[in-house]
Amino acid sequence: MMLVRSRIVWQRFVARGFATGGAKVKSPQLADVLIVGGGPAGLTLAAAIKASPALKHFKTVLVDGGDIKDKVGSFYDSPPENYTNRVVSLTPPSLDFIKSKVGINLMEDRMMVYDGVYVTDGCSNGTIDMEKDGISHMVEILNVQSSALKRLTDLQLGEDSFKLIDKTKVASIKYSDPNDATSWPIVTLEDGQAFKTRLLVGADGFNSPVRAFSGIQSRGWFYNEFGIVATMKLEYPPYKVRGWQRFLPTGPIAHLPLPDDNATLVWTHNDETTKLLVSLTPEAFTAMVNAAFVLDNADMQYYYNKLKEKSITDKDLIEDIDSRIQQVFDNLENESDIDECYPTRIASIIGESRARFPMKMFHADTYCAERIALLGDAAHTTHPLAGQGLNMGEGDTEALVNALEKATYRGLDIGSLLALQPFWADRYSTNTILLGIADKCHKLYGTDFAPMVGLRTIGANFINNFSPIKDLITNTLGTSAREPIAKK
Amino acid sequence: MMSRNIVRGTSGSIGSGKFVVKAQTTGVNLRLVKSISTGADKDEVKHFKELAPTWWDIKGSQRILHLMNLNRVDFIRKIMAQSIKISDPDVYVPGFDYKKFLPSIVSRNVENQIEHEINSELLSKQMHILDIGCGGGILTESMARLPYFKQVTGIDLTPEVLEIAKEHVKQDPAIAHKIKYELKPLEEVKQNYEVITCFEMLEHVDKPSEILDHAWKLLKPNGVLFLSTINRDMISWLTTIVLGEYILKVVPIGTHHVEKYINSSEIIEWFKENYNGHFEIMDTLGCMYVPTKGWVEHDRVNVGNYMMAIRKLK
Amino acid sequence: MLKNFVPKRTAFGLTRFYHPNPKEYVPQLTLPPLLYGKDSKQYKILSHSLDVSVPEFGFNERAIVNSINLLGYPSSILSVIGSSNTPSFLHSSTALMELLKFNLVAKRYQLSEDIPLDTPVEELPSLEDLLIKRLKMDVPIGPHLSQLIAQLSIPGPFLTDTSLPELHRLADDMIYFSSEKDHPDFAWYAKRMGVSTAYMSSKLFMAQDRSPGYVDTFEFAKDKLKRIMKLGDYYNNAEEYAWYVLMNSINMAKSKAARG
Repeated sequence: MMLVRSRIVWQRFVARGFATGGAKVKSPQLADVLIVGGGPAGLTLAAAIKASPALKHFKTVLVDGGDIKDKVGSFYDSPPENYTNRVVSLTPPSLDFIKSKVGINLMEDRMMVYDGVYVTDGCSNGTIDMEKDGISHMVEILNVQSSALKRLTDLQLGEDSFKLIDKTKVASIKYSDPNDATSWPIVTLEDGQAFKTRLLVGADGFNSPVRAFSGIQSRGWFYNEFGIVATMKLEYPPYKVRGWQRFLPTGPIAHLPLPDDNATLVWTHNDETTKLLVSLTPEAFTAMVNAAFVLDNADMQYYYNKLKEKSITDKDLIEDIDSRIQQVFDNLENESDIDECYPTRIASIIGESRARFPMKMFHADTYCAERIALLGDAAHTTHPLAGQGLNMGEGDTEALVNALEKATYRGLDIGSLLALQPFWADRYSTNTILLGIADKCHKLYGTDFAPMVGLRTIGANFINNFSPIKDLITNTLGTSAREPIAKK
Repeated sequence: MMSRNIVRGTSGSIGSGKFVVKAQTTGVNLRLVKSISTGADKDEVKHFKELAPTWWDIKGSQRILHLMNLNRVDFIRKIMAQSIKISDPDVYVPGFDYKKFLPSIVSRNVENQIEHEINSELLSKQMHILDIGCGGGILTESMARLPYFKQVTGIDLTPEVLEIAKEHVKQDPAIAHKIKYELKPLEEVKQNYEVITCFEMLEHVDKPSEILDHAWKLLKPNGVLFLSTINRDMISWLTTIVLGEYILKVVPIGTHHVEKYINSSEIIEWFKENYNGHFEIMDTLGCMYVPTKGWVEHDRVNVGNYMMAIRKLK
Repeated sequence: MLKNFVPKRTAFGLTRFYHPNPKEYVPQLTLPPLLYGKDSKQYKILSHSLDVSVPEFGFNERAIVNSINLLGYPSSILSVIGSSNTPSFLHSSTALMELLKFNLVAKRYQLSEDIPLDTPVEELPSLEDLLIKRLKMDVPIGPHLSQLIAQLSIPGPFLTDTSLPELHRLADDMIYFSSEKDHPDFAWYAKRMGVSTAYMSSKLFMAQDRSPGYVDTFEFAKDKLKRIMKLGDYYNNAEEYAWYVLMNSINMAKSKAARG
């Protein structure tokens, strides 16, 4: 076809221009969309582009430094028995996008829908019980990634339509004309391959090289806290399937359900304590997690100190925690309150699933520059306490795909700023709201200053009893601040 | 050859709306680029020459033009879809507003099928387009990206701007071979085209009727002529000149002159006078620039900017 | 000799041009603001009195005279000692004023004398350590602290020319020679003010502390410092937050404008 011939002519023209480049670097291949980063957002974007009738003719390349083809690829067909520790919450709009618009079949048996979130205050009895059927689903990140990859492989696209390059990092990015910021960027990989692309999408996480190249600033702060994630086995499957979150002054702890009697844990604490907790034996850690949901901060501090000094054995620790928990339960008026107010006790932690990662909140100034778009964590990072991280990412993906489709219908160059700006205009305020919610909650509950505790308890109880506000909050979190899906 | 021209009202009669028929011989074809009857006068050419470097700067003074281009292409697509008559008898084309009456799944299916049919019919046509007064090629490039346009020819009279257009097209390998830019006046164009576009051009020439006439003659039967220009009324003067040029400065001063504006009704009258029975006004659309919303479409076609699509019947 | 004049860029911060530590570029001859160096007679006498006489006699001329006699210097040297100070009816004698000044300056230099200039930031002592170290230096003269503080804080030229500047220099030294991150903005003043407050309040506490070994004072000092640093953190966070909200709002406005 004439198109191919002219492309080759173009390539030779470009190659001659770069003949003075490094000997190992091959002449750049042309691509329409180059996605850096094979996380859930990047893979969903690739699948969405290839599934969209308007965009599927664009040559797409996805580059990731990790193992996608083997590790992620094998997950769909032969998933491990235990659940992985990186689990996220996906709200109905995100799921709708993934399933209906992109046509991805997620592994439903590894997803768990839950009907509400029970939020408690670690310093008082302030409670917000957000009940809503199907408020969200817990999905493993590998589930999303591998299902998106399966969708792509099922489409059976040739190498000139979709190319997946994994285990290769991006070595450098530069403009093909250094004086012209609207020229096509050339991305050079570690192994010497180079791509000259119309649109460069950065879905490459917080330390995004694409964002660094674009010069877009990201503003925010580190919380000086770390989050521990782990997969847990409960004593029995819960009667009421819901998410539990307790705001301790040192950081929130969340217990979220997975199918059957599994659950996932996210516990935020400072550097020192998280290191200590990750180093405990599984039994001791299990006991500490149980304690964190029931006992108050003073008890927890006592245990931390004891464990730091190594002056208590595991057995004693477990016994002590058990007796104290029993005391708290005995003091409850109603026995059924135990199931109502506290999550199911944890029986054990699965294998080596404990890991910790730093918590931060950052928001980029803008999500697009000429020929560059930022997606997912590269554009914004948040504390997981509101469960909105990947939802924002999927929302971004949807908005970007919409913007690109619209641009294609209007004959625009998909890399031009005019095509990309609607995506930014759509998502920036929504993401700001969600980031703000998570950050404010964190700030509000991050102190044990008595007047603050008093105020927030009053506030929480008020919201709990005043349904319009509670419903508003529940819906905002449950739909990730997007328009409710029209009943189709 | 006698031809009736549209003559603009003198500056004292803004809003008069009535045109005066004047018999006048057509201009002699001169080989000189600058003084051609269908060409722009010297000032206009110079003005566009000054705009040349910022033409493709999306954040620059031409941003409004880029935004208007979005609406133009939407309009073109809509008209092209309308111009197709589905010939396949298996495809159900309801004669009523089916979206209101049928359940959503059914109406979506119907819509998808119709769209699919239209798209494949269009794709099979592979049309040739002429863009008169293409400028920096904003519309030319957008049209070249539509899959059913095979070849787009852009003509303009300002050499600097055409150079910019040629340079810019080189950047995109996907359309570089689909576009041809030529520095020539309309009279020298000899080929026939299925679609001719004349956006934001008629208000910059002295004799717009000549342009329309020549363009109409180059149009193939069943072809569509697209044009857009500005009505000659108070609102246009307020929005395009006072607000646009002087207050908000979104358009460089001197881009527009009110005396040169043409009313949509005058265009229709001209067609009725000259080509009665051989034309069909497919659609007319008004649009207005609203600063944080872009170009907003409306149906007050006698006020402000407007776009028109006219089909040449056999 | 010439190379000694080039101010060395210290490993742990910018070279301070406002009142640099002389050891940074010149071999120390005097200890500014004192007019004599470590090997001078005045230094010997005054340090002896701080170590030996003041704990016994308190902060008065008698302590200085005692040291002069013990060291075998002629008693006329008393006037030399006090020569750089103008007599004031608010203070008892110029020599005493010099002793007070010496107390502050010598101990301040002692704080940083065993920290080599090329120590990397991670190995520097923490601010808390330096504060405690400085407080510990006053343990021998503990019972006479109230006298010292009273003398230092009499309103007058001595307060404004000597006591307060020395306090600020002390706070500055403590921050500079510790592993604290320095902020070259408004927080610079706030931080030094905070450390000065912590130090002075601990000093006042120490003046009436009767616990053995002044353990209560050190606890108090640590707690005070922690609270002040926390306040600083809150301020930093608030400033960061305000800045973020401002930039965010601007970006929001830009994103809305980008539609049109």
